[in-house]
Amino acid sequence: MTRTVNHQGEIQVTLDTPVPYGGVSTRELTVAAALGARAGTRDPVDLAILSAAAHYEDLRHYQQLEYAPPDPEFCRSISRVRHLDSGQEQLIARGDLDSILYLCRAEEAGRHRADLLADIEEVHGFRSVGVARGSVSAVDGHEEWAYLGFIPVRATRSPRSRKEEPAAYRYVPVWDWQLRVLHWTAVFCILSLSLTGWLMGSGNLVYVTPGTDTFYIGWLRLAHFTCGWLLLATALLRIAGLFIASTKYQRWQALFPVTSTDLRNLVRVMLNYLLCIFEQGPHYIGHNPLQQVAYTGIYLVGCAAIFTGFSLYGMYAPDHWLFGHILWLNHLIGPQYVRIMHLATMWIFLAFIPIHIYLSIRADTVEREGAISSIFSGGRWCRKGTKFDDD
Amino acid sequence: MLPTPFDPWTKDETFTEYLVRQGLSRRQFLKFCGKVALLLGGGALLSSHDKKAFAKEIAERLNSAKRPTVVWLQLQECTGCLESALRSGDRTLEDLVLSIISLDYNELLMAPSGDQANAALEKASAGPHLLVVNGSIPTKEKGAYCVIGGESAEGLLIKASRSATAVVAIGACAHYGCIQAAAPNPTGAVGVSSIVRDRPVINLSGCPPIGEVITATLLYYVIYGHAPHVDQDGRPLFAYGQRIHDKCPRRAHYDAGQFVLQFDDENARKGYCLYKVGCKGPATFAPCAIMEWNQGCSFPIKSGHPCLGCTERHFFDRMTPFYRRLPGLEVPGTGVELTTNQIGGLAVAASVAGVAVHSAATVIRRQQTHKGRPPRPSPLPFWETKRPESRQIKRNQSRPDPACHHETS
Repeated sequence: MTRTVNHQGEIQVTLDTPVPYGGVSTRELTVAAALGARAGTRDPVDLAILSAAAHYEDLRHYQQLEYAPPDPEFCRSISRVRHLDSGQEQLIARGDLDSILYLCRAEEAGRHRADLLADIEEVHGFRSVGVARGSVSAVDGHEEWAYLGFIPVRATRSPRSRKEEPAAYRYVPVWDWQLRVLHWTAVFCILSLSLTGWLMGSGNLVYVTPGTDTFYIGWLRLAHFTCGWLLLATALLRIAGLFIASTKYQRWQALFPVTSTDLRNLVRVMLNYLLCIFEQGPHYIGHNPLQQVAYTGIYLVGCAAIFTGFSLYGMYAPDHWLFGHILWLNHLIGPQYVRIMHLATMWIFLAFIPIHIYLSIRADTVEREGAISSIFSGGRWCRKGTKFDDD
Repeated sequence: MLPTPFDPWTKDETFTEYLVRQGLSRRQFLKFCGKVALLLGGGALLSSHDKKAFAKEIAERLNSAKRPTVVWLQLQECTGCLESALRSGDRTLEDLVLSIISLDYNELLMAPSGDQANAALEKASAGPHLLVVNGSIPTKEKGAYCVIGGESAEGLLIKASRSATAVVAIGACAHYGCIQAAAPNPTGAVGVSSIVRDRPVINLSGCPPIGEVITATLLYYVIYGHAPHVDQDGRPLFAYGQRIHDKCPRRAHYDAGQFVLQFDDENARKGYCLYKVGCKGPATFAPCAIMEWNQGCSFPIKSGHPCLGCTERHFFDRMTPFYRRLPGLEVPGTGVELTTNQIGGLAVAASVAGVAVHSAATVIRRQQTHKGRPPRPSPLPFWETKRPESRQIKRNQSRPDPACHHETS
């Protein structure tokens, strides 16, 4: 196998072992293929074949008399060369395998075999350059062509240039790792808070055997308060992230649809969801207007959960330097109704979660918008040519 | 040591001179001061050293205290608060309080009546005095729901508070209106702090408040000459600074998850926590669990009844139902009451059902969308040796080869 890299280092041309036909030798086939190239060529495939042939023979002993470039109909080139030492002339045809085989009037079995071999090469990404040698009868000018075989050629771009290659998709970072950590921390906290809060609030599922010494509610309270503080921390960091996050899809501008386009799209997205239309409609890299409204709403519910939670927690010390200032809601509506609000936030979260998961998975599978995958990976592949309204 | 009401503390002598005249020993006096210190420090958990220092401070201040004038109004109320103050059990302390203040006007306790009573009120209200109020102030119908001596409760209160140095609102009625202010509040009853806005109002909430809290607050005023520290609702922190729940003798059962499920069940006999039968201790700021009632005899939770939360604002509206954990919410227009958990469960069920319906609709819609399109090409079986079309076409070409022309040129 010969391998040649062209001068720019961009395209890598690989020649597989030449496949000669009948009694033709590899050397004969390779030299003939090289003689079929136009004199002074810079074509990478020609250069590769020339370099391979140079191992066998000094091609300077040949002179190209004529060269007919490949035409789109027959996909083959023909060159007439003369060996300077012997003065012998020969024709070399080179090009598409089928075209060459037709030129040579090859018999059915030989054609079939050559096609099979070419198909095998094609599996590995090689295309076949067929080579034939011809002579002109001195008597009646009749051409006699002999099929020599083919040379499998593969051209690949180097990895470096592949990176700059224009592609159908581009990768857009949407959620940085900080946001994803906050998201999954909040998921953990909300689920733990819901479970422990419901257990201790309702007093259900308490199976304490009489006479045993337990601290069941006490541990629930510890877990609940710990997760509550953790959720407060995530909320504060998220608020900070509204101003310092790395992508614009997580900054405060993405909280609400404000522009007229966004407001029009809000209606469109709502109709799309309502009528199950998924092949048109506005495209957004981050959240679409309906998601913006929904997620900002759920942020507010989270804030309400934290505030009511700490209003209830702070009752242990109404003259506390901090908690003393957040108990105004207790005085306004009474602690029992603060409890109901707190409980209601839990149910809002629990009702939100199925819809949230469903729509996120749907965005990936039906709408191809990559929502559920982006909260794991942090980014998404955007089809080029799609117009994104928040790009 | 009992000073009789007929031999009161006169205006000019100090408290110590008065006590000496009454034949009180120094030891008895200091015991009294220690008791007051304990009361005022009830929520603060003073160390023994602090208590001694506090008692000493009280003694010093009492030595120089002058007898304050007190006007004690009773407006729209049931007299329960004054009963509580008078019958809280510790007669010595209460009598002493009533003796060391100059109770110049009180509808229930004073001897004069008619014009003499009105004259006493006018005289006492003219100078600096401490104003104590029981009962709420009805504001609807120009105050017609409570008229005393031809004067509405509101007018009476405004007149009495004009030169008061401080106002003490005793009981839930004076605090915010209590039962008569519960929805729909037919008489428009409001608390003292809604009428008297230009001077501090100390709210001693409760229905009724514990007698010791009343006397301790009055003593605090006598000793220091100003109001004690209060919370956001104007209640003295020494008494209302902590929740009943945090001082409850049954708290260990709460932490253990041991609850009374019915009032006559085995758990009730064992004295388990009353949380699940509607105890409002976790939301109620009151010293009941510390001071207890009737000479420290008992208090509701101790005797097996859940706390009603009577020291909290609007407890008749906000703490009901008394025997359930949380109130239900009425579905508008139906009269059906649902708990928050029932509503939340319905919301979650609706959410899951909505997801199911929408995903089914998506599947149907998808099939409809793909119906009009040409079917996808099925992949060729692997044994099929058919060539790609381009090659076949070229092979079947029957045109003369142009390469020949090239050759002859």
